[in-house]
Amino acid sequence: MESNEMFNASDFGNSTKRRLPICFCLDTSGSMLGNPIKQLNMGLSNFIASIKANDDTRSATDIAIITFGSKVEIVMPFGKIGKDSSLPEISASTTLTPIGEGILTALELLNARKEGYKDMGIKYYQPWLVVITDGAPQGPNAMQNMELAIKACNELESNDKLVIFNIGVGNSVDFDILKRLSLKREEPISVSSGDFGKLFEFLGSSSSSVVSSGMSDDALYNINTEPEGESVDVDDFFKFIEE
Amino acid sequence: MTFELPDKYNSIVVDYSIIREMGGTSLFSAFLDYLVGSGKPVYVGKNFKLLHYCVIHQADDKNYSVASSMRDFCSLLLANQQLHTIQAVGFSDLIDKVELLDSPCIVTTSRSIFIKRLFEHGRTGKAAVAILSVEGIDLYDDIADCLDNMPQVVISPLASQNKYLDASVFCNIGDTVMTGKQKPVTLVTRVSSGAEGMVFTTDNPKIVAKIYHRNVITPLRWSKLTRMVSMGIKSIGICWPQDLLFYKGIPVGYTMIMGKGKTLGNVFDGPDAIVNNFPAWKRIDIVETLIELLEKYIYLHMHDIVAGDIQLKNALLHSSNSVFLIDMDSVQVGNLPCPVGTEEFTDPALWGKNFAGFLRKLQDEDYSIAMLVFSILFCGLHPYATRNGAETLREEIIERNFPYTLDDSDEEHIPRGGYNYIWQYLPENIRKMLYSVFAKGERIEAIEWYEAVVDYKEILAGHKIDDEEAYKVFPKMDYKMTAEAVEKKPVSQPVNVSYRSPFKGADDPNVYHGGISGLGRTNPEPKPSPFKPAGSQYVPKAAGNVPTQSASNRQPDPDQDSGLFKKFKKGLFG
Repeated sequence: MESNEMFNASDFGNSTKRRLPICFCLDTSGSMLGNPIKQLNMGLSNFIASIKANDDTRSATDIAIITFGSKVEIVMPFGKIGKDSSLPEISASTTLTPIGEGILTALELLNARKEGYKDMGIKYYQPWLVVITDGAPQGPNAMQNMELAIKACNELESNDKLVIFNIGVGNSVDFDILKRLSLKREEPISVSSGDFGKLFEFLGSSSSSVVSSGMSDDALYNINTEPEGESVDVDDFFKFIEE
Repeated sequence: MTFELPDKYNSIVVDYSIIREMGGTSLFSAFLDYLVGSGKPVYVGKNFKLLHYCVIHQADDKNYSVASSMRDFCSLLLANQQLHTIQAVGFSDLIDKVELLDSPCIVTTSRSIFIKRLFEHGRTGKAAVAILSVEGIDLYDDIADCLDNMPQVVISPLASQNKYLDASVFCNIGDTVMTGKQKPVTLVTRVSSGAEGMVFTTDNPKIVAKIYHRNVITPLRWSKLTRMVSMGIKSIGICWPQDLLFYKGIPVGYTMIMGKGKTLGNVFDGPDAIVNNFPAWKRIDIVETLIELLEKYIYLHMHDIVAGDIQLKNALLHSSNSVFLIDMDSVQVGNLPCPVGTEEFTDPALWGKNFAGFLRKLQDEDYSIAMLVFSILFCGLHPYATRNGAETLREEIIERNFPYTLDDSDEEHIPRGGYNYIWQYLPENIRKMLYSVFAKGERIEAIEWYEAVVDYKEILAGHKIDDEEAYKVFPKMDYKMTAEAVEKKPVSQPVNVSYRSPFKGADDPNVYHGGISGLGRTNPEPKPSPFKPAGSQYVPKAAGNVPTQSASNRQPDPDQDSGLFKKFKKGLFG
């Protein structure tokens, strides 16, 4: 197949920046109803706004959003962020939690996006998969699909082809299974739905660190923000300089 | 004061650093008297005048005696028919040709580009080396003697100090901080905030203040800033630290000359970004921007500085002849290393090293300069951006997977968007130079790039190519402003009248430092350069005494001995 038929060049823009594809994979099962989903929407739109406000991230960050509730839905495909200024409102309503299917769909999207970059000759950073859930896999074949998703994620991550943010919200999360999504992250990131703002701020500043300061992927697994080295007061400080 | 070299040296080779560093001193006058009195032939490389352009174009007050020293040097030696040009720009070529001279002695200074390159190449040769300083002359019998016995520069132990200042003070808008000279500076508005600190406008409209966040000032950083301030660089386009800042006696930051414009990375970001920002730009504006940048980096090299972290976000662009280097506090100054850098712009040989742990060489910088040349000429594109290439950019760089060919036989891997045409329309010598760096892994010196790009500008300015496509930013493409940008910048505005749109003050959409108003800044003054007369042509050829040459078939200057300096003289006095 002639490859240029596969990809619509306009979806990629003509920026020369190295792209960072991020796919959000979000839980919209019934337990997210009410305040959690409200917080999620707010966090997400603040995240997008901060990406757009920053010169470095605006044309470098490439975002897609997938939800998993009664079914897996591509809420926002890649390449649309610049065109539609407002995000689609994400709602929660059902009881199923097909996490595995959601992740597998996300990996497909990310892979297609990478193929698109390659075809266009666009440089890219290894993609991010951001999984946010407040429960455990539920529904027909949910466990089998989750196992497939874990296997696929582990393989990509260990080959440095994927950065995984596995994030659990609240107390009903099956942290054991969520933890298995990433081999590199010691423990899943655990937040309460009230912390969504901080979580998205962290993701925003991390993406900015990657695209503007060339922070390494491995650093994304270490959330320690303490400065290295020893703090000294002003008198000692000048002693070091004079020595 | 008198000056003398042993009589056995029959050819005196003068490095440009003598003019820049010693010009105006009594030692320089004594040296010039000696040269004229001895009647011996004096040689300079072709880089001599190129370096001089780089200095003069900075309009830095501290070089006030450079122009007159150059004038004295040239006029006295030319009148005596003593001055000759060695047709070489790069170090290796130059030293090869010096070796052919009769008993040569090279006169230079201790931290000149020449000496640094000599140490980096580690080559031998019969030429004697005389190092001039205010203390006098150090003479080495030959190059090996110089390499063995000249004091070596070692990395400062401060670089490995894993300490930072725990400042207990916090200053913000309205606060008054003190300079190292006890002058008060008031912080007026906050311009930007970054990972290291914040930048404020001050009660002096030309000066902004950078105030570091807590725990950012290390011994390395502060002693570097101290040294930078003492160097007194005041070039308009280099946002060099001017004064240290203290708050309640504790170090907090420094002042610098204000830059304006958008970062290069935001303008040189593909066709939409370029066209939306500068709809009337032609290729000559791209080339002019590149010349501005190269001159500034070369100027820094002359001061024993290696920029280190060259990348598109470390410069602001206001117009093609108004460019500002920013984030200067990270550069390598003497033996104080540059602790940062990005993989994309850094020589792959340095990847994985701790940047704070070694001193970068000019050779290392050559790679970053080549990256800069490519990225600017290709409007932000990375040389290793490749269609259907390897999985990661890292692999492409290591394998030197450069998708361009010298005979244009294979364009399949060049990214879409018209970049193949940019490549096709580049002068042959620049294509060869880029190819040698990115496909073969060779190194080209900053000054060689400068020469080639200045020639490219002359070709464009002199309209020496018939094909009109060659003058477009994107040849053979027809990029227009996007609808979004047209909305912001109504067509009724004279955006396409002149490609150097006047600065419109704080309302100018190109101004990067948002929120600054009433600063009373006006159109940037034209630089007081003796080389750029009113016309846009670059100097030597504007003088009209050089046969028309295209960059693709450059001939050696047939009038080797006097040709250059005839031109030079016109440039200087004309």
